[in-house]
Amino acid sequence: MPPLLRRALVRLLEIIPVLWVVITLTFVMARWVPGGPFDTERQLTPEAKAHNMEYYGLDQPLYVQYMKYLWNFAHGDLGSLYRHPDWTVNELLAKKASVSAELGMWASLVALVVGLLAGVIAAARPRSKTDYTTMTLAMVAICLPSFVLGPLLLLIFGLHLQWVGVMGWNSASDRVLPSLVLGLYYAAYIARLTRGSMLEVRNQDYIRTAQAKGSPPRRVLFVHALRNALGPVVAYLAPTVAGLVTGSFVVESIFQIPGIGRMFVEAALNQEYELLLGVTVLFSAILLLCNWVGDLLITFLNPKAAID
Amino acid sequence: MTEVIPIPQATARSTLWGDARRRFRRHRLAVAALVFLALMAVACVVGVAGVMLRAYGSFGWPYGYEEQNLNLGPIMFSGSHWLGTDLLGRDLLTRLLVGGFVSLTVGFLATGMVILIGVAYGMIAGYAGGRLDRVMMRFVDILYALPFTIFIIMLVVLLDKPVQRLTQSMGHGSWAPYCKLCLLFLAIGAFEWLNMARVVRARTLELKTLAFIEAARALGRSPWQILWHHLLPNLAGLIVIYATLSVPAVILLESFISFLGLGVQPPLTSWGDLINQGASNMELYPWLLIYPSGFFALTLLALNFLGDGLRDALDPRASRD
Repeated sequence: MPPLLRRALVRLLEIIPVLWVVITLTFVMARWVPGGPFDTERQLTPEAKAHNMEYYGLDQPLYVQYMKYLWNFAHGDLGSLYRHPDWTVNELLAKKASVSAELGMWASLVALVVGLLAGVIAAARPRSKTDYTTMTLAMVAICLPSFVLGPLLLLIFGLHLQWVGVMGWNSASDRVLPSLVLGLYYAAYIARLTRGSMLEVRNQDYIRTAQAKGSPPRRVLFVHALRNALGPVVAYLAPTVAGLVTGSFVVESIFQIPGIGRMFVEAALNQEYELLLGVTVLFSAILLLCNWVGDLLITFLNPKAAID
Repeated sequence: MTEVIPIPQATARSTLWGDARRRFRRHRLAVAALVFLALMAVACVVGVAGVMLRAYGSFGWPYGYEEQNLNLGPIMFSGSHWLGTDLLGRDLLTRLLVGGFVSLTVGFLATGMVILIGVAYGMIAGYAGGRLDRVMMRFVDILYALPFTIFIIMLVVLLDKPVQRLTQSMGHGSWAPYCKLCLLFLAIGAFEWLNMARVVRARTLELKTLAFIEAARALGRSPWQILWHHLLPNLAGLIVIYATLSVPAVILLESFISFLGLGVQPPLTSWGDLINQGASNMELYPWLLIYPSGFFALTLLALNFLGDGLRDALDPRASRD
């Protein structure tokens, strides 16, 4: 087996023990807290509560529940909801995750396109007016996180100009503001990274060679320089995508989008253990897979990095 | 006959920190940011001190941060309320200063924890090397792979009821918000140190091969003495840079959690909480959103500029362009 493929497979298999750590930590944290899913304001009779606890297996010793959860998890069954018995965790996650995934995808697109463009434009003429303007704008965007930018944009474009709807996730125009709000923050980081590594690459010999043999400046900038400057950006992409998923907590609550982020908070508040575990595992799996893909891409862009 | 060549006298001693100060002063934006932050911190401290004086002696600040004036309601500006009042007629400037105090305190305390854990961990791993280093860094890698925002949210939500019960059983039910706040910054600090540990370890690995460390070892200095007297001073610049970068990160995280309504609890407030309240009333009273957002964004901007300036001043190699 070629060493690179082997390395990729090993890194993929390493995800499993980390996921196990996540499950165990979440399980311990969730169960360590007193109370349970049936301790609501509207008190159930002791008999009904006992019946429910027995039905969902919550009356068994914790280690039995833990082993059962792991067993079911390994078979793809994420468990049931205590307060909404006609849904399973699998169904609910599938339904809500698609919304969050779409939002995350649009936001990633915004982050990548805007960030790379801005970074390259700024690096084309360092210390020029364009450079300073772009980088100042990037800094401002970093200081306007989603929970500041979201309400402000909503106030301007939703309420005063009324160009877009204020909330919901129905028409195409509903996608614009949330994606922008979520993506711009990361676009700013990507712009700064791109500019920094473009400036490092700029002085290398092969760039001078490309210029000397008469490649048009734009080609030198976007093809010769950008490809080699992408390393740090790709390395940053993994936490970015993870940030886009978790960042959607705020954006989903501002724009009233029925996604996975809001569900997580509710699950923690209502002590829906299996839903909580499901969401946490899903987030962790996304993060770990992103890291893995980022790792592969870096090796692909710069094979030297693999030999460490 | 030999000509005596005069030895050139150094006009001024150039030290690491002296050079850094000179380079920092050239960075206009960073100096302005530092002045702004100092003013903001002083204003917040004065505000909180005034509010406390008023609570205990009914003099000092003209308003309490939780004093409602329902007859007044929300106003945008008046001679006695410079930044207006919120829905319950509470003075917004007072609340912004108190909220700022909370946000900044969380930022600095959590950063203190980040420095303590991160520097000790990174230095020990880097200096020890070998298997201990590998094991310690593998642990950092695993923690790094965990979605820590989620864990912090989960921790804060799950521990809400136990903290309340505990403080009530101790007979100090009103302490619950403060305990939760402490918990919040402990949780944030417990996850934010990873970056610091990695950076410190990398630099320690570089430094430990240099001659002066070897000399110290040859002179019979113990590992702890070497870590404390020889490594730490050489890491100071790096630590300052990363600490400055972690303050805005922590403030952001705290505000993010408070915005979701999970962080500070009323009557206490923080900037994230104020932005949250502003956002829910922005149709009719936009200033309730705009002022806190402005305070928050400007402070974050200043912290970031300060971080950039410090990096240029302390680590000129890292950012030449």
